[in-house]
Amino acid sequence: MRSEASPTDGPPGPLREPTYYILAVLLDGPRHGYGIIRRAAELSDNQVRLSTGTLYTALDRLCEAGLAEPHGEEVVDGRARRYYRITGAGRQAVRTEAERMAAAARLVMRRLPPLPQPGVQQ
Amino acid sequence: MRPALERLYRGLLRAYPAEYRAWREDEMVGTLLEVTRPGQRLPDVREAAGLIAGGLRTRARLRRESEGPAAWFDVLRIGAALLLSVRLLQSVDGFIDSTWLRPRLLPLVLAAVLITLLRRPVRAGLLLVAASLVLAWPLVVATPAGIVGWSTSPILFALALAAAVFLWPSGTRTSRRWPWAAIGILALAPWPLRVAELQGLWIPWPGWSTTLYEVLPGAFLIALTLVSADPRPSLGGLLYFAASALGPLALLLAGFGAYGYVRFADVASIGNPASWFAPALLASACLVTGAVARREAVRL
Repeated sequence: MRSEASPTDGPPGPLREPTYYILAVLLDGPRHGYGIIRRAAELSDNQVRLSTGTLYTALDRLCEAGLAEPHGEEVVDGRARRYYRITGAGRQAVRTEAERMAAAARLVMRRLPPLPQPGVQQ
Repeated sequence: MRPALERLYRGLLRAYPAEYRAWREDEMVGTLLEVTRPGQRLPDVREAAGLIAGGLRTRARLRRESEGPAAWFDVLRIGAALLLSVRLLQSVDGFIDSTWLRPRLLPLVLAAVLITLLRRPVRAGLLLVAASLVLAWPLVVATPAGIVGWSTSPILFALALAAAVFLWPSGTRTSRRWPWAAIGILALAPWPLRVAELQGLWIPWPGWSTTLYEVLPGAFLIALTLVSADPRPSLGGLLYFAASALGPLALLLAGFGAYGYVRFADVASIGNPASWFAPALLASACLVTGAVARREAVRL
């Protein structure tokens, strides 16, 4: 049985979409939970709408794997609000995933004929 | 401030384990309230589903982390709990129809064991051992062959195995009630349909309601596995369904034939493919979903 992911494991495999967007958001700097949800929606043109349960499940796994970490907290309306930031391993993981997806996209785009221009006869 | 909505969200957060909530609940409530729309009074369905799935996944993850390989002992326990639940339902007809002592005692004993199991798995195991001995006694009296008849009851053999599972020292916590409660309740759900069939209210095909004795709990275990990304419920189901499908076939191949049917497989008919097709299908589904969940559990 494979144990949970840890900072000592090798590079993670393909990332889930929520994980990828969370890391992408944290590239801009530390953010709290709501800030991550809002920014992920902005970056994806509202295609990625993280639920709170999904966000914190992903953050737990990212922190456990050493790809993100808590970075201070403040109290708002009597409740703790924690900030999270990306680590060096997290930057590497999201870069690897972005390069993998870019290579996959190039593979297809090279083989597709150019789109016909509007009004131009084939 | 929306105290009513906050209360509802805190209720949903009970899907998470207590030790996790102690650290995270306030932070998550703050985020949940920040994403609510103006005037919203009830939790968003998508958020509620996310909290329940997140809670189940967190429970499974923390259990794996805290108990390591010992957590896999739950697979045996789930298989044994399923065995008890299904046998309970299958034995209720005997309770109604028979005047013999053992068919009437069996459902009562199984119900008592399942109720005890909710809080005290070890006590449930002890109760099973005692019940097996008591239930075996009428067979000794009724069978001239004596000890042979005593030892060849498939029901008692299965119950003895279940007792061993619950009594085996696993190092796991035994106070968690909800998995046993969920399996027990789901396993009992088809009983009203059985009553409907016995009353002649709805009979798509003869014996259709007894098929649900296994299909409904199986579907529940598979759904639980997919939602929680925890392979153990499906693997527990796999244990039970594989035994249910292969047991009669093994007896046939071992040369017991009609004797095996009468003496061992008193519920599943060896000659009828329908008796092993549904368990075989469920076992396959459990195997596939267990493998998917095992992969999902470690994926980032």
